[in-house]
Amino acid sequence: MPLIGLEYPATDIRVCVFSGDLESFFPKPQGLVESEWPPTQVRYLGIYLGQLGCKTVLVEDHYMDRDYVYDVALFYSRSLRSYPNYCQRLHFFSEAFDQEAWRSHVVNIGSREHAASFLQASYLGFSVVKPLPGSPLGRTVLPTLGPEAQSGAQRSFGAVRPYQVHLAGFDLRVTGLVFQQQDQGVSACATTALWSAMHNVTKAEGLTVMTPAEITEAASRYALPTGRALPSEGLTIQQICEATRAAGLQPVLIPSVSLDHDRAQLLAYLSSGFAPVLAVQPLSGTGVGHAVCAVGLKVHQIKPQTNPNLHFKDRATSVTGLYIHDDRLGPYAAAELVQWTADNGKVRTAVFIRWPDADVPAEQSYLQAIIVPVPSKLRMSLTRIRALAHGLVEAAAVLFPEFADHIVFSCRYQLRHDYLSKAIHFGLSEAGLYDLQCKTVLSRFVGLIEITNEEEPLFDILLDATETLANPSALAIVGRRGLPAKYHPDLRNIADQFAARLIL
Amino acid sequence: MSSEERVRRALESARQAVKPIVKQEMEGELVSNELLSVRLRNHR
Repeated sequence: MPLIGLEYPATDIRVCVFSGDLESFFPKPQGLVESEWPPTQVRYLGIYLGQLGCKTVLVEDHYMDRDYVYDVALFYSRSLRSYPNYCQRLHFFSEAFDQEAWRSHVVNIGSREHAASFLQASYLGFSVVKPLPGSPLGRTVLPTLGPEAQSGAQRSFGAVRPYQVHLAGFDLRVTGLVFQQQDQGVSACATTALWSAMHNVTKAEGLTVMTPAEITEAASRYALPTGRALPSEGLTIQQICEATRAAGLQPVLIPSVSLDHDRAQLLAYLSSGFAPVLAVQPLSGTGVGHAVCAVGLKVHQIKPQTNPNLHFKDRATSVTGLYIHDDRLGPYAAAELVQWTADNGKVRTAVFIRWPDADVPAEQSYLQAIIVPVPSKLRMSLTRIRALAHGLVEAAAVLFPEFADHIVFSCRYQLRHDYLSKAIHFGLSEAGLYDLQCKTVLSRFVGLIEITNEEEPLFDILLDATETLANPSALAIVGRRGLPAKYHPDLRNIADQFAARLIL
Repeated sequence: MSSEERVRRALESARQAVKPIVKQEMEGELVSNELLSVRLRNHR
């Protein structure tokens, strides 16, 4: 009997031309393939890479992927079939080069710096290929599309982060949010959506990023309504909350009640860098629920106020859609948010998910709930911040009449450091800048209400996000460049009413 | 009327004006057991 498994696998890095699709990198498995081949996610990825201008694919034959190794340890190592514990990794580049050029980049020591710059400038991210016949698409990080959509809408991706990639001694970097296909062994849609959602916030909080296998285990520790944990039969919303807590975060669970409410929540959390998991249900009312991860926003014009008794606008009305990681489709899939009247007459928020090259929605669902993994110390709910903001902005519209009907508010959380680092551009006096930077106590995350006049900021109110009630927790009101000095006395009176420090 | 009183009244009046919106958003936060039990497991 030959000795099995004692030899190390061979490896190389091969250069291939990207011809518009990725099917050749994912060979069809032998035997009966129960679902369609190539998988939808592979076809989607090919189209998306085409949009990014991909020209070259580097294939790293041997790659140890932490997430996959955990999957193997928990599940696949006990299968009859001998699954390898390593993967392949594909790297995508927007410049065309061949094997000879790649070799030259690696071995020409004199032009190493030039080679590193060339590779980084054209790097479009990576995709891990798992040796799982039915679900080969593993951890994938690609950049987002540009800030302007063809329709003229603006794209904004608040929940992405930089990923460092090591390839043949080169340090490469790509900014995005991790995506992968569900494998139905250790993960279903809810697991992969939560895995993506937690990737940015756990890193920022210095926590260990859980693998899909660890998420499924944590979700099943205390509650198993589906009977067995593995193979994964999906998660309930309660299990998603449990796994989020196991990761050292807290789940904010927001039932979907109306389009206005839902887009206000999505705008605030995504602008704060927190990726929400969306629980959706087919519009038909039949079929099982599904989970996706929201990564970015599509915004148009801010809509006018519909209540004639009010004199402000809500920035959340500018949100018309989302970019989501849908593990049945691919990363950054476009989804429209629309108001939908269900058969029972109830008005709901509907989510229409589209392919990148098609105008017709691939799927129509309604939104059931939004689950956002957030740091534990972020206690003040967004709804409470908005409650304070509504009253404040309406009062400002009355007190500063030249801005009435054009004054806009928005709410989000921001790290103290990020806010302070931008303060030099606020137009504050020297005394005001020193006061804000050195003499004002702020929580690590502040609840931020921004009042603007559609073109430039007027003033901000900073709230202590570690508190539970918004009203007694105003730390400071910060005047911004757009607020004329004639209104400063009234702003001082507003600050006094909130027992907040005024910074001008 | 002093400027302090004018601002106080403006804030109170605004608080009353937005009360219906605030109430609606607060009520939307209530979570039911039914929602917690929703299972998410779509395969493709």
